[in-house]
Amino acid sequence: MSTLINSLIHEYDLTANLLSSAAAVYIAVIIGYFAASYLLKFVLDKNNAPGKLMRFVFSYLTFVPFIFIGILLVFLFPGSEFVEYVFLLLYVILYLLIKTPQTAEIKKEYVLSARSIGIPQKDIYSKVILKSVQPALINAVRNCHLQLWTLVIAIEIFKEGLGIGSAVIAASDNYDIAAFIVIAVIVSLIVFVADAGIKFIHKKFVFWE
Amino acid sequence: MNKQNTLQLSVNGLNKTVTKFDDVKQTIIDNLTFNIELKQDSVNVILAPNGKGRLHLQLILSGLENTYTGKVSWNTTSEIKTVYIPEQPSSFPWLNVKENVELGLVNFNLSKEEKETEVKKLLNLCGLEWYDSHFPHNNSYGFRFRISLARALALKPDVVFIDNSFSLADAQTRQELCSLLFEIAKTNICRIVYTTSSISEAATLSDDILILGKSPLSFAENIKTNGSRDEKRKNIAQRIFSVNYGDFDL
Repeated sequence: MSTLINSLIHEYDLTANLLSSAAAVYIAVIIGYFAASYLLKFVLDKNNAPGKLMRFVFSYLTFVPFIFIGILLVFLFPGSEFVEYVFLLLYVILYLLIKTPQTAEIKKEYVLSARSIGIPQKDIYSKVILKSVQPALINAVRNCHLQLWTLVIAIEIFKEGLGIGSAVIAASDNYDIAAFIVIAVIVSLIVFVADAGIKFIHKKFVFWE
Repeated sequence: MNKQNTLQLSVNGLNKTVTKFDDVKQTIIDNLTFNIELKQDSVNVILAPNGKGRLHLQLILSGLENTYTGKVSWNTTSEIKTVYIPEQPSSFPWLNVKENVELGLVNFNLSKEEKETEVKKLLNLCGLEWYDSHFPHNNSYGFRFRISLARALALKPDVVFIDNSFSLADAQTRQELCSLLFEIAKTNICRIVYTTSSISEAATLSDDILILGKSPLSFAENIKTNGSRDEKRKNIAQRIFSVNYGDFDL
């Protein structure tokens, strides 16, 4: 057991690789959440739903295999941590902008009431619409988080440099099944704990759902 | 605040067309003309059928919608401040009762103490004095209506338009809310216009009822009824069915 741990830490540089992947995923999730919260107002039209053109673009984007774009970027910018971070961030933002309006319930009566009591139009987004979309936005974050780990491992397998994908590829090259399984278990535990964290945040801050 | 005893709202040749299914146009209000005298010490009732442009009429009257043709005017030159309370619960579930009511005061330049006093007064008026820190996230329609009403009154409006807001509540709550409206009407702080599709509710709330009907909304008739609630209900129902005004709830 100690040999396995020793080889994971020294041979596969698991701590640094794990930290690198986790940082890429969670920085993308956190910044992506705030960016999507801001950008959603440009996606929603006066009926508080995506317009015709936006719906068409989004329905096409749903079928775009982003994993290929990620791998292409890795080939174009080999070993670049920055490109990985930017790609994941853009993926999160796009995912949240596409998925949130599909399930968000922006009640017309809330918007009408806000207008009726004289809340300025510019504040209606932050005070009413953004609050209304929070349940859908956080659910989208949860789903995106699970996909993001798959995506990050996939593109790191092709990337030179730090990342859990590099450890996976090294374990695979060495036919080290034990290391392979331990990495999978550790990643699943991180995803599980982080998912529980997002669920907690949902319950705590979006209590009205 | 308009201090006249009667405030008259005149609607002349009102037309409203909506676009449905992207490009199908439908007329929902067609050349509607009526006058209604809004009394200060009683609830003013408009009886209008379900799904026949009632919502749009309310939005037009309360100034929230301006894409229509025709004329909506008041018998005064001073500006009439109106508030609209929708049919569905409209208190914000992410804010507690006090914060919801405070939202109605956003456009007043009040100190913290003045705000506190004002909110307390409104909560007392609407029967919410013990619930200031409660969150309105539940299906207690009566509770949520009280919050919406307190928030609307915070604006010190001349007229509050209430759109069939009791329809989701149970019979006992409806009765309590009717009593609340009577109490508020008696305080003379604003005029209340309650629009409903329920003949019973209309008969409970007022003797003078403006009936709107037909599809699209095009006919209006003021009727005066008196006697017991059941007699009033019978008179209104007879009138509605004889003219075939549309689908109302008994």
